[in-house]
Amino acid sequence: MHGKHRRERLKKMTSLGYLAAVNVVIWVGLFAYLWRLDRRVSEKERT
Amino acid sequence: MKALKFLLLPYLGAVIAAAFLWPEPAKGFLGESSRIVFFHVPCAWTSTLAFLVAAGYSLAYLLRGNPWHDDVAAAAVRIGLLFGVLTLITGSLFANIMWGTWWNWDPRESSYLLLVFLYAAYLFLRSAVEDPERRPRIAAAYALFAVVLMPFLVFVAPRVTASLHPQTVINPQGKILMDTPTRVVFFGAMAGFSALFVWMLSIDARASRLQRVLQKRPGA
Amino acid sequence: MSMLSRAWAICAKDATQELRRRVAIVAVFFFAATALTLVSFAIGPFRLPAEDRPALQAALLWIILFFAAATGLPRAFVAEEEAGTGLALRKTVPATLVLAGKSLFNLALFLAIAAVTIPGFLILLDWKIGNAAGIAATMLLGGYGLAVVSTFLSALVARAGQHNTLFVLIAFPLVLPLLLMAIAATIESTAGGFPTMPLKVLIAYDGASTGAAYMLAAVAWED
Repeated sequence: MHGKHRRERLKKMTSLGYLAAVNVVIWVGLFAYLWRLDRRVSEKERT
Repeated sequence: MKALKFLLLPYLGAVIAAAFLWPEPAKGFLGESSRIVFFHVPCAWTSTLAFLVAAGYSLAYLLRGNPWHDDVAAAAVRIGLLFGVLTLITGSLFANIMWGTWWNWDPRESSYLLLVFLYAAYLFLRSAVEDPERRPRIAAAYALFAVVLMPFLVFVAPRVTASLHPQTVINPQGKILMDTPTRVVFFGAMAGFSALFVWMLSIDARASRLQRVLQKRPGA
Repeated sequence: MSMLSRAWAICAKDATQELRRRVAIVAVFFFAATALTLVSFAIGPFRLPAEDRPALQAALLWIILFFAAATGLPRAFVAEEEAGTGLALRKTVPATLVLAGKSLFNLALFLAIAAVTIPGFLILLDWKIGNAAGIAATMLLGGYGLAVVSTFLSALVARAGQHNTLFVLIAFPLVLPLLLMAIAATIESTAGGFPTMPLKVLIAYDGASTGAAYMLAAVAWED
């Protein structure tokens, strides 16, 4: 009984971890985009 | 400032990972659906913050006449709208899981939708005023007038009819009903989203200023 | 001239102008009459189930009132710009007085629309006024808020492109709380009670919009 409970919990954590990972990847993309924008605006501001 | 920008990504990454993995899902919600609170409420908070910032900078523009303040106000409305739409989308996802429908004209949903319309109207108004000298003043007048009437839309109108919206944050008792891990991640997300907003705001406003200056410059 | 009489003079000027030109003002009442006829044709006095009747009738009444008013209220400043008299008015009269006078005219216009629509509603839709004082207070407070907000917004859109479409876009989210409160007050009055709570909110809304319009009048109207 105990083992089955643990296995289900592990399964749940894996799927949540997968979701968290996908989210973090999306956020890294968003940040890369913002960094690029920020740099381009800063470059133009200098001219 | 610069260091903060680079710390924001690891910080928000940690908050988001924690949002999925650390707190137990809240009781009374289907499955893991309560985790949306870590995204939905910060989005709503950020857009409200953005609209207040827009009002503040509109007032500053009217008092000082500095066009930079108008750039910031307009940028704040644009980013506030972005977060407002995200609030509606995340709210709609939650509604679909909890209540089995994407949109059910819950008073809170409807009043929030109108808030988004209100600030979309601000952008329409800006684009309709062609005179670049007059545009910032008309826009600022509307933003300030709107912010005075906004409480009626956000706080009063939803009280007229009963709402199904969970009251973990905004409730008559005025308390935040959460356990400790939930609370930590929740406020962590609020702070992270606010910082993200400040950064996005500065990029957008600086880009608007560039555009304005380049248009004025002869031969550009 | 005192402040009040100058504001009154603006109101009287608008009234004579609109009455002389007729088209716009007739259109407003024609709209109200058309909407009323349509509603009574489609629904009739007895088609609505008795328990839903007060809420539906109150909502229908305010929809008719709002949209009829929305065809006339934004004219306040738009008409000045169309006639080319905006500049002279800006030079001679302070913005707050212009706004006050035009709000007064808009309030009168709204009350006139209500005075025409309500008897029609009573006859054609078998509407019952349970508490006449409640209805009167609702019309006065609701009409006042509607007049102030629409006059102010009219000043904003007067010199923008596409002002009529723009007016509806920017006005609707702002007056929606007012309409909701007015509908709630109407429902309560129909049932015979005096709608204290919604009227209190309406008073707060009227006060907030008056204060904001007063502070921002010069910004919205002057150059």
